[in-house]
Amino acid sequence: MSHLLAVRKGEDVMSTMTGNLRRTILFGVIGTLVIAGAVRLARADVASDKPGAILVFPKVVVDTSGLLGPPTDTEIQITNTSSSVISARCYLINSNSHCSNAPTTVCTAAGVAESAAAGAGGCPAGGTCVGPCNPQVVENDFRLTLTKRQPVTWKASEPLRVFPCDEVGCALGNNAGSQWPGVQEDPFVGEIKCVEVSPTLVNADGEPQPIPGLDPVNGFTGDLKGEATIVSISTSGPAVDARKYNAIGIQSLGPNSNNSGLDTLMLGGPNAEYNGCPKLLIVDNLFDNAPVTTHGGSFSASVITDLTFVPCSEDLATQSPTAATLQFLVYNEFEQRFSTSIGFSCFKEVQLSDIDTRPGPFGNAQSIFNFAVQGTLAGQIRIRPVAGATTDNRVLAVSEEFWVSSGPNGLSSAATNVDLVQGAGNGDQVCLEGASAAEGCTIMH
Amino acid sequence: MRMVKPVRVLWTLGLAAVVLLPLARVASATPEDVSIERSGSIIIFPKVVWDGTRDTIIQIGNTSNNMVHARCFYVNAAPVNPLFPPGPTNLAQCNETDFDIWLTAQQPTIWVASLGRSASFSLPGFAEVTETIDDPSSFDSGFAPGLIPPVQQGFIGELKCVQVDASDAPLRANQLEGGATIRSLSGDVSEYNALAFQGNTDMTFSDPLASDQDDLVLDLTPTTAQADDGEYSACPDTLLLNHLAEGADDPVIDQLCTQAGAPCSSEPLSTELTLIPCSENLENQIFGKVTIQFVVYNEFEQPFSTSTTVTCYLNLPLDEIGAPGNNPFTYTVLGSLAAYSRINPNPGNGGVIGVAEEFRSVDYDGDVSLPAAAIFNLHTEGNRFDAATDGKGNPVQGATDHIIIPQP
Repeated sequence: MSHLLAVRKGEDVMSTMTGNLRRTILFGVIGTLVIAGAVRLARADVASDKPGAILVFPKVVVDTSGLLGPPTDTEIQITNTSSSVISARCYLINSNSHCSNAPTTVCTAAGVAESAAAGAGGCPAGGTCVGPCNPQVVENDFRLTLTKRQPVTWKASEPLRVFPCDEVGCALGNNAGSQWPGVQEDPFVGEIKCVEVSPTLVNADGEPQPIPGLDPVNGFTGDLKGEATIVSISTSGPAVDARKYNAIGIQSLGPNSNNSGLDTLMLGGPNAEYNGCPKLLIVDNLFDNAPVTTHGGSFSASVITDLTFVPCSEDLATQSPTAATLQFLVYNEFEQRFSTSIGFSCFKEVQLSDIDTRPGPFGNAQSIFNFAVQGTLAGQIRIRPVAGATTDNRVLAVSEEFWVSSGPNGLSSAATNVDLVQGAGNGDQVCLEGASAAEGCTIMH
Repeated sequence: MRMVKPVRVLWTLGLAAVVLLPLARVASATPEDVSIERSGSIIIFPKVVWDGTRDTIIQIGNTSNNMVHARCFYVNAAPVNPLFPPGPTNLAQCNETDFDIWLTAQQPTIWVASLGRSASFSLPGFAEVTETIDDPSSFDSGFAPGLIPPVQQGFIGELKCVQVDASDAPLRANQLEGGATIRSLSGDVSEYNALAFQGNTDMTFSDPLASDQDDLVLDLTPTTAQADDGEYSACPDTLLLNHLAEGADDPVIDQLCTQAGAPCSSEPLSTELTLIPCSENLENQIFGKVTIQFVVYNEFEQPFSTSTTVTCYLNLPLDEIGAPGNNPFTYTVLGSLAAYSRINPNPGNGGVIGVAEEFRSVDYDGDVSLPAAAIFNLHTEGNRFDAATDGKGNPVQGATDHIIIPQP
């Protein structure tokens, strides 16, 4: 060490060969530390088991009157995992579809295909189901401020105006400005996206400044975690159903990244501020209508799976919907491979068998996602978003299984996060309300 | 000719960058942390149940285009005396049963814990589809991954699969992923992702830094990866659990009942936590013991704490963890519905991993429903190998976790 100190002080040891070696070691160490910083930049992730600087709930469901199924609501949980006060700018995106001839009536593609009554998924005679996000993304933004390690929870169906630390204040701060607006419609399906921002700083767009994260334990990559629980009840007897998934955390690249603090958030790509979205999603699925028998062979059920996709690129400034095309590779237990694709805009919730057949039960037995075609119970689906000209058009997803059996619960469900594979690309963008083309938002129309 | 000092400095920094940046890129392409979404070289299902009421469906996939082999281990953590709850006088059995699976390119496979899977090849004809609904052999459709034994009724424990090569030597290729669905006789289902430990694909067993091939060292971290060292993902330092206060009513259920005009209301909520130590010696049947601290935050940012010890396996409702009376997970103590718990091993202890499962019931006109379960994966932070903390960000002594598998 004394020799290294001597180098630092510029003493005479530098003129010797040994001194050169020591000097090389010293600067090598410094170089390593510098590069270690760079490595830390690259260690961000998109994960549903790590806190993030952007938090995405791909699917929030409300149907308190049971118009489209059993009465359902979603419980949202969000926590600040850090020891600092943080804020978040959040967006509630309404992804309902509406009837072409009754713009306030919520419909579903399957409901219309099966001629369901208007208000129960169908449309008045002659109407088609339009949407979602047609012609524009319909979003409400809201703000959160969370104190040290603070968890909060709310029902999606009802506004929450008063947060726990609003009135009494807590040791480190309060929840000033926090509110949950409640969903725009009931029934509702859509997405929540929250971006961590500074509680005090305002960016050049005049909005609370997006920040990388404040917790050194996470490498300053983000402090938000969350879960969504979709709960349904039966109105005719004692039965309840619940499914839960973790919100997906997109980590920032840390304080040494190129985070501009502006309202155009760069996810991956050459000017990345946040980790890029996955280049591939992998779903371990049961093929639709798979006859699954458990309990020693005594208890059977039939299963279907829904996938919900949301785009990583979103224009929340001009509310232009973003589109994506997804390529599917499907493997069964015989290692046989099939493929298909779909395109969507803004939001897509789809039963597996409806990916390659028309909405509703008709034709499902001919789908490559159906047990009747595959002949095996389990499959592996690999989903690849097709890159666009300027952005990767990548997506995030959550999977839900619906089991029909003879048990007292009848219909039961489970939700899970899907597997993913990371990979470099051109990146995606989230353009918040202050974003502009001039500051780099290229997805505005 | 001698270089002037600034030039030499820049030259040295440049050389270091040229040498180390490629390593950095390699390391960042495959993050080292335990993950629930990426394929890995060790996958762990912390909660597998077959007790006559609940059964578990296991799904495992090969994410590569190569044939993948894995050695799998069921660890039965049911108490020795099934008539009494587990405790200091009724310890978990903690014995393991192992089997091998082989998966062809991208092949998924599936079985149910109560039945296992026969080694025979079968191809259910389409005309037989409806007949196979009640036929347990429907799990034998597809290429057989090998003979998978059923577990005995009363089983609760974990399943662990380690990727190996054709000679049964561990192989760090990160090509396994999986999920588990727990199904109840009520019809209720609950699903979680297996936890995947990443293997360092740069380190072979001929590497002088590598340990004995039956000793899987959980020491792969961002730091060790930079030094081209580390075998498998180090265990997380802190587990982060968002949960609802024990004994609270679920406002969503109450709201739905009111809105629907149904004569129902929520029964008290409960969350069951399942934890296993990261260290396991399956060769000598010596299982890990980790003392953990819980810091529970309510919605008013107020912390509460308790602790417990995980020996081999822990599967308990939150309100049975820690000392009885004034349990910090309960609504009466917390005073708020939402809670956030940080779970941290004591200094010098290895890590734990796990899942949590919520149970909801509804009282319908005096008739209480069977519980609806929703299982979910825990969030993680840091690692126990070289970044252990006290849960508040202060460094403490960590530990090196080992999984020792029996010699093939």
